[in-house]
Amino acid sequence: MLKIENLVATVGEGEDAKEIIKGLTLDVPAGEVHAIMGPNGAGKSTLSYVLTGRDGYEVTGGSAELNGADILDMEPEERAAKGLFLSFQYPVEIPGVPVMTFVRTALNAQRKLRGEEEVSAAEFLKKSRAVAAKLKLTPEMLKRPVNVGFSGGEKKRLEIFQMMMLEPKFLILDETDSGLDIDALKTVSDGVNELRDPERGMLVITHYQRLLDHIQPDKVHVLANGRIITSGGPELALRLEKEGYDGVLSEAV
Amino acid sequence: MAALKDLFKNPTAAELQLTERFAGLPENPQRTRNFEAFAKTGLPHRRVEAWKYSDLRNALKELPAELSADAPASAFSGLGGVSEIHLTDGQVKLPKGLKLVSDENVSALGGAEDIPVAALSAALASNRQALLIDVTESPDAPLHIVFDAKTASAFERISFRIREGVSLDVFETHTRAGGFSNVVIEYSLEKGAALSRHMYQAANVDAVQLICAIVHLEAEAKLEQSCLGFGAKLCRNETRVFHRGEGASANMNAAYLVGDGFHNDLTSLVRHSKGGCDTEQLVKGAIMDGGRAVFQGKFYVAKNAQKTAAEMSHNALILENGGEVNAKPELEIYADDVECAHGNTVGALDDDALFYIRQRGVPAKEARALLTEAFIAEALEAVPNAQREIMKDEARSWLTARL
Ligand SMILES: Nc1ncnc2c1ncn2[C@@H]1O[C@H](COP(=O)(O)OP(=O)(O)OP(=O)(O)O)[C@@H](O)[C@H]1O
Ligand SMILES: [Mg+2]
Repeated sequence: MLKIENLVATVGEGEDAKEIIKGLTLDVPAGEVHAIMGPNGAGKSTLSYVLTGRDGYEVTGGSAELNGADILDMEPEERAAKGLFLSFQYPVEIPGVPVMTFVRTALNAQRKLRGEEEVSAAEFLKKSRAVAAKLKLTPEMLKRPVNVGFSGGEKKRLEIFQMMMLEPKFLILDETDSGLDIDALKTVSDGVNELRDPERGMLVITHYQRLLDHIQPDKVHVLANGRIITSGGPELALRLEKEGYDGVLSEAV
Repeated sequence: MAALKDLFKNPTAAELQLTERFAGLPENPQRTRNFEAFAKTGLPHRRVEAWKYSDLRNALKELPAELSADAPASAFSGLGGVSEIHLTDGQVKLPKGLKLVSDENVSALGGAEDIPVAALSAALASNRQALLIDVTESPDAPLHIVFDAKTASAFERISFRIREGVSLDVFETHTRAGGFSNVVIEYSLEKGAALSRHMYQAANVDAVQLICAIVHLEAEAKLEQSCLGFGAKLCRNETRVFHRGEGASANMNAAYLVGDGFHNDLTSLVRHSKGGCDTEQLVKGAIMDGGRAVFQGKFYVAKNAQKTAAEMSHNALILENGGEVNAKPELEIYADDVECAHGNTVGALDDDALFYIRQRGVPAKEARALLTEAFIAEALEAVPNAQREIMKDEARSWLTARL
């Protein structure tokens, strides 16, 4: 599914370019959920931006493939149409564009890029109602401009709403748990689990075991200093929770 | 003729042609007053403070001989639920509640010396192109006034007297193929009257287009106005509002999109002469490389106009390097118990927002169009639904063709 090999990437331009991803290798097969944990500033969000094609990040080595297709040369929208979805650590405000309009525009744009037909208004409305109910989002919230004036937790729920509407093939969740209250964490996790599928892969970036109680990973990776320094099963997350990063980091050197 | 010419200091070819046109009209003292008011300034140019960003004299070296193209098509024509009137028809049919008082209104324009081009239009509009209309009853349907003169030079004047407590809804479309057009529109609102005035302006790149509205508001009268404009070689859309009675209010918004070779000037002056009047103004626009936008907004608050509440804001988006904006927001306040503010921003599209939208699968060009359209749409919220939808479609196709 997602195959990253020896990826090297810099942030910034010219003299200011700084290498953040330093030879990162990772393989998430279809049907699996992998967690990435790692200290602040390790490069977790950077990895998610490099994979989704944000401007200002330059790949200087290695490769990344989604279902065998090299994604690194694609525009962000092409990657999205191929099924790559990022739930942002910090969702961005889109003033003046209501959530419903936005999601429908996105869904139809993706379909168009894939050569598929547009979704009908009725079908879209029906589905959005069902998904919104699951995530406890009110119809009023969906009429408001994307992320404008939403609380931190509401923004995260809105990311998951978009994800469930767009039904991507590969999901990257960047600290989706941060800012969520205990009930919302459960609601959001239920939404994510609903999307678990033999055809779908997930990369879950988090600092806390808490989220992994709800979304159980097949594998856990530790990302530090731009590399995956160690990987293991779900028990690795439990160990990190107890011991912190120091032990794991010193073993890896 | 010789004497008329002498009214100007150093007449340009265009000014001489205008003088000739005037000399050809039937004599009338009011008309002459209007022309003399124009001649004091002549065609205004850069050194005239109110025109320093829009050099009309330079844009109109001589009057164009003929129009060689068609005007941009108007998606508003034939729209149901409105009474359409065309000044070019010769005989206008007015709906119930409106009465034609005169089809050659030559009355002297108030404050004409300050608005030379409006005075020019009042001097030259003749022969069924200068209507004076009495509004005695709120009409059932909104009025759609179509300004689409097909002559190379066009001078039109239309004046409404809106009687006490009466409401008038007007939609104006101003489209031009080229040449020179100069329209002056007067709305006088009696006590408690209401005017909802929305406008659409589009022209070809070689048109010189002037639109000037003068709105008088007596006590408790209400103006609601908005506009979507695309500019022209030089387009100036000016509004003068006079709060003349207590408790009058004006809400005047505008959106603009200015492409390569176009110039769009939005100028307004709101004079608060009585207490307790409100003015709110929101102007938003976007400019491409080679386009120029001008916003000049002035609020004047007289000494006895206490409890005036007036707020002005202008926000521009430069979509490409090379787009130009000149903004001049101004407050001139002589009363001490007022709440007045103005804000002005010029910026670019937010890269983070663009990436977010593209990550969801929307191509870059559409993402830019979506953000820009949403940005300007805020200034069009008061436009009635049917017209607003058309405006948004026009804005979207304009943007997707250019971004
Ligand atoms: N545009 C930039 N210019 C310079 N440095 C940057 C830029 N973007 C990120 N960095 C740096 O790259 C490093 C990795 O940042 P990143 O956001 O990927 O960390 P993270 O692992 O997601 O951390 P956190 O757990 O705090 O979210 C940090 O040291 C950060 O300061
Ligand atoms: Mg991060």
